Amino acid sequence: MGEGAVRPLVAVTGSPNSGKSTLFNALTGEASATGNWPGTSVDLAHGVWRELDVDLVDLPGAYSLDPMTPDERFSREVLVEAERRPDLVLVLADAAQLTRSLYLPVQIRELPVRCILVLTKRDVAASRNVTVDPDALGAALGCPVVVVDPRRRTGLQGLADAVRAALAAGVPVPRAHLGPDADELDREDERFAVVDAAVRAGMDLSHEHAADLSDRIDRVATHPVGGPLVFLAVMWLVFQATTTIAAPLQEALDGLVSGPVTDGVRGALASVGWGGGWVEGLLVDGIIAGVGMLLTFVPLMAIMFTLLALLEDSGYMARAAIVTDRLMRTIGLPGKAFLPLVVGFGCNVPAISATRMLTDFRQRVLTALLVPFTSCSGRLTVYVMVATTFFGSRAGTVVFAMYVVSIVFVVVVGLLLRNTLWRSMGNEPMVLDLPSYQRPTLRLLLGSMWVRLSDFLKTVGGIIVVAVSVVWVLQSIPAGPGAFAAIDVADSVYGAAARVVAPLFVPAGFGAWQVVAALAVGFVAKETVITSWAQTYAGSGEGDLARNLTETFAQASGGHTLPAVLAFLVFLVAYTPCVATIAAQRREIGLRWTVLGMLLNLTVAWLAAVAFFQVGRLLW
Amino acid sequence: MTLNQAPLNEPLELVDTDLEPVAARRLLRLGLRPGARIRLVQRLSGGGRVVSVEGARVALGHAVLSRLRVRPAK
Repeated sequence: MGEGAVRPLVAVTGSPNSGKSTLFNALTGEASATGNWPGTSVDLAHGVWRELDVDLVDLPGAYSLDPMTPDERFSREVLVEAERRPDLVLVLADAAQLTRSLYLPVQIRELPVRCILVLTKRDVAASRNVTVDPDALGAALGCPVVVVDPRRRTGLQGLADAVRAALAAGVPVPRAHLGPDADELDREDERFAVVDAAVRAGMDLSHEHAADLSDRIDRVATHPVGGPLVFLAVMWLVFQATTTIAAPLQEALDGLVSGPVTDGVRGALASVGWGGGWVEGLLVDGIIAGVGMLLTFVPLMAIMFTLLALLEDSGYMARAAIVTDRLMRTIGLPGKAFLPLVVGFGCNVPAISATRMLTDFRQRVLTALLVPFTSCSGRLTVYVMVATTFFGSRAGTVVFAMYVVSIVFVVVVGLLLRNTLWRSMGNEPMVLDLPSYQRPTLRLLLGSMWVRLSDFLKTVGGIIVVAVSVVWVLQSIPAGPGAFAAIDVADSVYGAAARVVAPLFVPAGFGAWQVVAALAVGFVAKETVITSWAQTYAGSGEGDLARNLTETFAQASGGHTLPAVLAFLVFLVAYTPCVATIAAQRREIGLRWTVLGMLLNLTVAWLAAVAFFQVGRLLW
Repeated sequence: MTLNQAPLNEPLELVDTDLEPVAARRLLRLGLRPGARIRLVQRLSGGGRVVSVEGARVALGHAVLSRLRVRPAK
């Protein structure tokens, strides 16, 4: 095809887990998110199939063109209603799950479009001693059938030849079928009859093994007792990886940015005569600090996305969903939602991104609204500091109690939302597709990780850097006399705002501006609550942070120091998450839900803190 | 008998279903329709089962199992 001419458009479609995105990547050479979970390719990926010079578009996984899910509705739009409709459709069918894979091609054969059935996972079927005959299948369906293994990239030449031949030939006559006037159920029955005939002609089940390797693994992985044990072990590993493995990398990057990079920039600014002023402040404490914070998320997100791809691609995610299904159902969520919530205890940001694997939008929203209530490791540093200051040897118990409080928040708020906003949710009976286990390939894992990581940096990075810079600016604008960027936080617009808001926290026992300002700074990152206090009390000249803090809490609570501190910690568990989490939320569930979530967090946190203090001061 | 009463690892034939249309359609898509030959391969906690249907595996909760009628397949 010459320059300037419109290339033929080829659409890739098929049931979830049929290897669609993997084939798409193999043909275009471009990365696109892949995974062994229905609905992974929600975003539409497109590229050029160089060998044939055709445009390739990757449709979301679908079992049919009946608009039962958003993905199926979208596939229908592209195939039937779009302005530029495909010249040819490659329909992938999973040989290991042939019956359910054939409804879609039977339905597509009713459209005036070229169609090729791409048979995948023949090796998985073979491992169960199920054999599929492509020629008999093709004859029954009335379209060419090509066997391809997208994961190992075999059979691609045969596919290219078949596509070239089909494009050279005319559009085939659609399959004879019941017209649009017929009853929908009758039309479905007619299609199922065609599917049955094709399966009978093309598939031999008579020698099927009673149990294959997948079944043997599942005897443990989905066992009523073994299943939860395996699940806990896997979750422990995920949690460890997102905390202990990521932590040193995060610290190293943080050290690099706050050390050599910052020093270098300060030196460079000083050498051109801009040192010490607001330019340095904005650049170092605003922009570089923001970029540094973003960078520290990179190893964490890379690990998280790799593990997510590993769990999806291997097939384990579906088993984890079975194990947690009953537990999560009580708060109206499917079992799959457990993973984001576990990850949230390490860091909320990757947890929000992990909600993407939930195909139902309402469930995704509910999970993303619950994640901020899981107590991340950033909050842990504040608990430890505050608890050791006020509770001495009982600090460990207090820190542990905060995790219990966090879990209670997740359950109570989950039940609350489920019974108000989404009453109908969570009542669907469990019907879960269990794909065969497969060994994940490194190329798929890294490709999937990179696509999600670069997407995260693109969409969330800017917001984090801007937010950190804006907070710096607010902390630098003097509320009274003084020069820009040459004042204490207390005297800034930021500090002044904290003073205005502080009285709201009198019922919670910590209505002191120093505490409120620290919470406000914690909006940037929870860890910074401590650094904020260090800054605030640095000017007081008395040095001892712990003594100053004790005094502040004692005054604000009218002598009920410990209940006020507990109320503060409870507030810290639940209040508005850090800016990076909010940026991730906005990306996953949209601005409206994100704002609602922020209000929800603030309300719940305030009510709980007030309740803790009011009850506590009767006791202490 | 209903599927929750059926023994493990025996060939069964699905007779009919008594589910709301949406759930019933979902099962149809997964190959679980009257006449389908199935087998229970695994017990799950809470009374669920993993069902083998034409080479594929589907996990079903107790509420679904009790609404699927089966008979031993020849």
